[in-house]
Order: sequence, then C-alpha cells, then structure tokens
Amino acid sequence: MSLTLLILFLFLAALGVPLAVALGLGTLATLWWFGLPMSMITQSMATSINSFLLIAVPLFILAGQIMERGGLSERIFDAAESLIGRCRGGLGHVNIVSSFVFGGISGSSVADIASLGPITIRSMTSRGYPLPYAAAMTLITSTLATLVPPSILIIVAAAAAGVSVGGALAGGLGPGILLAVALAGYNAWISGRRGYGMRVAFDGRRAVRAFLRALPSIGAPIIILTGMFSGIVTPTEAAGLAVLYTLLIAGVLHREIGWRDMVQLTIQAGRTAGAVLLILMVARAATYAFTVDQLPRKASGWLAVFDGSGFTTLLFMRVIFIVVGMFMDIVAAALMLIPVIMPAAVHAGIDPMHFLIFMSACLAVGLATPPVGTCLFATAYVSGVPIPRLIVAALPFYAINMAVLVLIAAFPQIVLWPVALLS
Amino acid sequence: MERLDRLLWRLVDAVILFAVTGMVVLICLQVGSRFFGASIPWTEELSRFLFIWTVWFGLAASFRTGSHPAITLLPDLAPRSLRWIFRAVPMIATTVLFAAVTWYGYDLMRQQMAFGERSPILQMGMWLTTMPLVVGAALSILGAIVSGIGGGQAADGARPDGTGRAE
Repeated sequence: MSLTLLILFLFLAALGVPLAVALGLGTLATLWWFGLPMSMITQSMATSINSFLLIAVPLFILAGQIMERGGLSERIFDAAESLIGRCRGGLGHVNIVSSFVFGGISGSSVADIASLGPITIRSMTSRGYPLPYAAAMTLITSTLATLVPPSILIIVAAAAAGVSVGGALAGGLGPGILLAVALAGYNAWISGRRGYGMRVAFDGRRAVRAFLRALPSIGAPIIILTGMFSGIVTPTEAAGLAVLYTLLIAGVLHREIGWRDMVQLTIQAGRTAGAVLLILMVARAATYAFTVDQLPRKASGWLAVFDGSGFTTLLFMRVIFIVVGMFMDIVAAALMLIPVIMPAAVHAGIDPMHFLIFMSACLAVGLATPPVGTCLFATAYVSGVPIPRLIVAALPFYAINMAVLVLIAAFPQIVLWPVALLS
Repeated sequence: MERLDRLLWRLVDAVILFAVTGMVVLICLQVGSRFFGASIPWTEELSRFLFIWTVWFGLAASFRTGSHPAITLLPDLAPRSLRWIFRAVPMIATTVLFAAVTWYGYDLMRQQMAFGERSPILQMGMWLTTMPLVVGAALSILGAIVSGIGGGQAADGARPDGTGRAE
C-alpha cells in the first residue's frame, strides 16, 4: 500500500504536479484502492492545522519579509562590514555573520539570498573577491537560516514529529554555529592563500556609527531568541513579537516601509504559509496510510540490516536525506521522511531530537544543490553567475557541509546540549 | 470575466490580510495581557481560528499565482509541442484532489452543524473552522483552472526569484 502511494506520488510529481497535490492525490487514490475511508483525507487536513504552534510559520515569514524590505538586513551587513570587513577575507566572514543574524529572525534561506545576496555579492566583488566565490559563499551561508532558530523547516518538522517545537528550534543552534565556524575557517584559509579581499584602513568612527545604526536590527534576534529560550514567551508568541518589533523599526525608526508595503507583505506571508502548510496537511493524511500499512515497522526492519551504532545508521540515512533533498522541496521531503524513517531511527537508539535536526541539516544542503535547489536558482538569479559555474565554485563548500554533517552525526551533544540547557 | 477573476482574488487577499493582522494583534495582546497579570483566555482560540482561514485562503491564492513548489525538471526539458500535457495534468490533478476535499469537507461541516459542536472557550460553532476548508478547497480548484488555462500569473503573483517560498 505504501509503495502504491509512493509510486503514484513520484509519477505525479515528475509530471510537474505541485508536490502537495501529488502527495494528496496519491494518498486519496491509495485510500480508495485499498478500501479505506476516503474522508480521512479531509479529517487529517482539518486536524493537522488546528494548532497554535504552527501560527509561528506565517508570522516568522512576515517578520523576515519586513526585515528584507525595511532596511534591517542592509544595516546588519553594514555594521558587520565596518567591524570585520577590513581584514583579508573579511567580507567572507561578514557574509557568514550577517546570514547568521538574518536567519535569527527570518528562518527562510531564500529570503536571505533575496535580501542580503545582492549587497554581499556586490561588496565582495568590489573588494577583489572573484564573483563565483562570492556567489557560492552567499549560496552556502543562506542555508544557515534553515538551521538557526527560528527555522521554518524545523518548526513544521517538529510539529509533525510530535517533539517540542521550542526544543527543536534550540537544537538547530549548535549545528548552525558549527557550520558557520567551519565556513569561516575555510574562508580565512583560502582568502589568505589566494589573497582574496583588499585590506582597507579601519575607520573607528564609521564602525561605531554603523554599529549604532544597526543596533535595533541586531537587537531583534537577540530579544526574540532570549524571550523564547528563557521560556517567557512561546515560539508563536515570539513570532508575533518579532512582527511587531521589525515593523516598529522598519516603519517608525527607518521609515522605509509604508502601509501599502505592509498590506502587500502581509498577504504574501499568508499565501506562502498556505503553500508550506498544505504540504503538512496532506503529509498527515499520507502518514495515516503509512501507519495502517505498518510502514514504520517495516522500515525499522530494513534498517536493522545495518545493525550498527546510531552513528553508522545516521550516516546511511544521510545518503537518503541528501538524495531526497536534492530533488524535493525540503518541507515536503521532511514531512514524507519523518513518519517512515523516524520510528526506525528511534528503534536504532537515536534520540528523536538528534534525528530531526540531523535530517533538517541534511535537507538544507539540498537547497543549494542541483538539480532542484531553490537557493541555487535564487543565487544564480541575483548574482548573474550561470548555474554550472556556480556549482563548480560551490564544490569546496559542499565538502565542508558534508564534513559538518558527519560531526553532527557523531556528536549528538552538538544538538542535544542546547536543548537540555533550555529545559 | 477578467474583472470577476480580479475581484474574487482581491476578496481572498482581503480575508488573508484581515486574518494575519488579526493573529498578530491577538498574539501581542496575549503576551501583553499576561505581562500585566491579567491573561485574556480567548486570544489563543481566536487566533487559531484566524490561522485556519489564513492557511486555506493562502493556499488557494497560491494556486491562482501558480506558486506551489513543484519539480519542473521534466516540463522544462519537454519539447514545445508537448508542453500542454504538463499544464493539463497538474490542473486535472488539483481539481480531482480538491473536489474530494470539498465534498468530504462539506459533509463534515454539515455534521458539525447538526450536532451543534462548539469551541470550548468562545462557544463558537466548530463548523466555522471547517468552512474555510470547504471554501478554500473550492477556490483552489478555480485558481488552478484559471492559472492553468491562462498560463500566466496573476498581476501581483509570486516573484520570479521565488522569494515567496519559505525554505
């Protein structure tokens, strides 16, 4: 039964049917064929989004859009640039830091490229970095937003997996920092060797001014994350406050956003959330079919062949995650993989939280890889670098990403320590 | 016809705008009221209702603008003479799926009305949470057909760089 569903899904998806519709129709046809109640599709869809936690999704999307349009990202970049941009490879580090901070509010990798990408790439090339390197760096740093809290992918995945959303968001922090540090290390090394980036005299006055100008923008993720992780507010409430805060800064302080923009951004956030959450809704219905078919138990049986430690099991799963992530929208991929593979992972002795974050980190790689990578396309679009060239330039970064994944698989503490700290 | 199409989706956008704004206001109110020691009990329930409206109307609007994520590898490679297949199949698939969702959703809503199911705090009829499902599913069919036949995107549709997406 599960096989029928999966084959139907893949067939429809290959024909260009939206992923959510392909999964929904595959499920509907399977329910009908095996004589299960077809009304389950509507039931599952209705119950899956009747959730206060998921309200965080449209709100964090909206906050990210306000940041992008309201001049917050630009100020964050300026401040980082005037502080650390002067040394060799400095702008590469700026690229990493500003994507990290941006991800601390928006949770969307594509939004990161659209808003920070053009500024970063332009500044890097004007300081003597090769364009493909600047673009590839922007491409990889954008995936940080999918790991650093609040990540939209992690919110949706945690809700689907039935683990604590706040905990899962904290779990993304360790891998996010690790990836950022690894990228910074590589950037420092290669920039030193190849002489990327001109040295510019440090202008203390300008640095202080840029920092003060960016202070409210940098403050946003700090306020939001502290509020959320100290337990004063829930993730959903943090998202509401994030909208209010970014709006105050963009509208009142920067005066870069007006009523007309706000109307447009609000509607866009609702539409995007609808598209993301439709996948969640149909995935819930598919999960019903998988459960009736006892697919999770079967998958545990298959994986038992590996009869190894959690580490080897995760390394094997990494291959599946990355291949799936290369072809599919990552939210859809996560929601398909969770019901099938998570029970098997737990059976193999892997902590559910560790599994979930590891999976998200693997899928995030898929955003930047061919043949289907939203971030890859977006970066090619904003930088003007042809996709094949961009892929070649990004090869060392993919390698770093792989190495980081091995570390995350080997050391569950990277994920679990911040989670434990939270609870 | 074109004017009717524009009017309808403007109305859908208006609902989304109202619901998202409502959620932001309610959630800030929830935090604020708790901060001042007088928690308002109904903010959570009401914002959850608005959220359901947002999701269903938002996903319907995304069918109209054709911005639901899909794998376009094969359609992009196909010769021009076969392109119509890759427009027709998604349109038909969306119609069949959402026809079923509308049908069973309507059934569910009728049951909820008949049994007089009510929400725990505000005592609102639970059918109010199923209505957006029925309306949104029906609108999705319409959106998919109009976007499939028209081929183009709505005037203010998804941006070409895909920034409407949330990955």
